[in-house]
Amino acid sequence: MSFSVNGKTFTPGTAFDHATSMLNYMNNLLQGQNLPILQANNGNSLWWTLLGQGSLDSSFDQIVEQATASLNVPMTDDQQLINLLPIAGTILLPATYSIITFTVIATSGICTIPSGYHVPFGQYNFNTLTSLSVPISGTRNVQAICDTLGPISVPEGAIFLNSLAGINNLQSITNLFPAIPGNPTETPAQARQRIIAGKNIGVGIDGAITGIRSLPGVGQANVYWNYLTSGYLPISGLQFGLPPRTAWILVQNPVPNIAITYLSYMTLPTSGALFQPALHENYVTLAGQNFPVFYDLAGQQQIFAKVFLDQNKVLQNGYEIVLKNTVMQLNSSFGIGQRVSSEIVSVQLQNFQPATVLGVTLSLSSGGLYGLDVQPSFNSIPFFTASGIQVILQ
Amino acid sequence: MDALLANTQTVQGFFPFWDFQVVGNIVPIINGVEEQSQQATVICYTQKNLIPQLPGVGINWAGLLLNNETLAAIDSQIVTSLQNNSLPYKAVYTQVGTKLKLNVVLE
Repeated sequence: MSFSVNGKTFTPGTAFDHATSMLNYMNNLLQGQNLPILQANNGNSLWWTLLGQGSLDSSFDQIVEQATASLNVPMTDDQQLINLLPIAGTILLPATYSIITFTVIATSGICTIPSGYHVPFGQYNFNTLTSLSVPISGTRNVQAICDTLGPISVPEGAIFLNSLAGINNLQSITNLFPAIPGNPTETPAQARQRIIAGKNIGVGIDGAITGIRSLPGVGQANVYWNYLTSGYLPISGLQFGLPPRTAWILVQNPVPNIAITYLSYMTLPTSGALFQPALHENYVTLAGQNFPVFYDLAGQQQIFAKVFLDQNKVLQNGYEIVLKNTVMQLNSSFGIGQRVSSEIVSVQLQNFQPATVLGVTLSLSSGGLYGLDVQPSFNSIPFFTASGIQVILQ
Repeated sequence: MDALLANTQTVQGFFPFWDFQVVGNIVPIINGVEEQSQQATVICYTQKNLIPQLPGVGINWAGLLLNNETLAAIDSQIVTSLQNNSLPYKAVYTQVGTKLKLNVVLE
């Protein structure tokens, strides 16, 4: 292949290309003096010398080509791509933790669970993010973060405990929703696609979003901004909308450094919104000025699906388990406020062989209208559960 | 004619571990239905890329753990592998609590 540098096109040549070029040059000189020309054949020792020199030239061509390709994002090798990432103001996005919401029910006494309490799940622990006090016979929710990086799958109801060490008055603790899985560390191939897609804007709101998403521990993050100088900007999921000239930060997991990351891109005030009690961090400038930065945790919103199968083409018993688990694998890919279309589900089921999939419809409530796509609230991460997926034979 | 394998053990609850059964210092040889059943089981659990010089053989279970493969794709690989070996067996899935259990049974 050829490429241009400063207007000059360079095409790497083979040993034969270079030898032929040199032979032609010599023959032009010989012809100019009416002398017999040289032939490129195996009996000509000069031709062998030219091939040897051509081979040397060819290896230099390859070095030049590789040096040029090393600055070309689609072509360069993985290690060089990692070397180039800081130039683009980014790194391989670190792995993030899975997060879960526990529902705690108290017995005839007040049940108190301290912040950082380990709730076991197999070989993992989920550590509560805040302390929780559940009134007598009451029910309260608390979020907890996994102690291990990466996607840890916890289906709804998978954790159900009637006692926890050192916790009194506990009737039960369970997860009514599946855990929001964390992400594994970004691979060089994923980083390459991200850079090519241009999702690495280093300034403004997009820069703030990318910056907060890159913090170790944050799975998803969004920043919305009310650009109006007066009047609230209506946003789905916000009761009164967003105040003028204010930004709204939503994250999946609360981690330190959200404030300084946000302020390195944006100086706009932030709003603690209404979905859950707002969290905040203070950033103190060199002048000693205190900037409070408010942010909210994203919630979860269940998506209900109806998958229609051709009843004449059911080939395998137990197909429902394969189908539902395949659809639920989508949960780890959903972002905050992401629209979910039946096409996404159909593509996920493209290798499903036990039966023929006729179509998929989706809804935000089990008894609601089913359509081809659904839009969860801007502050929610969509998820599927096994009980929320109906399989219908037609 | 196959050697009889010991009962399956799982390593850290995920990957099966195979060894030969030894009865009286001898590895028993099995035939017929018993052999086919064992073949079908081994085919379903063999991790792709683990057999030297046969990189295409096996099921990409690691891909499922890393969420690079859907369960539907895994099931499809199992069906194809069993068909390629002319084994009249099928995979049956059950959900046991939070775990997906795979049994290989006669069709």
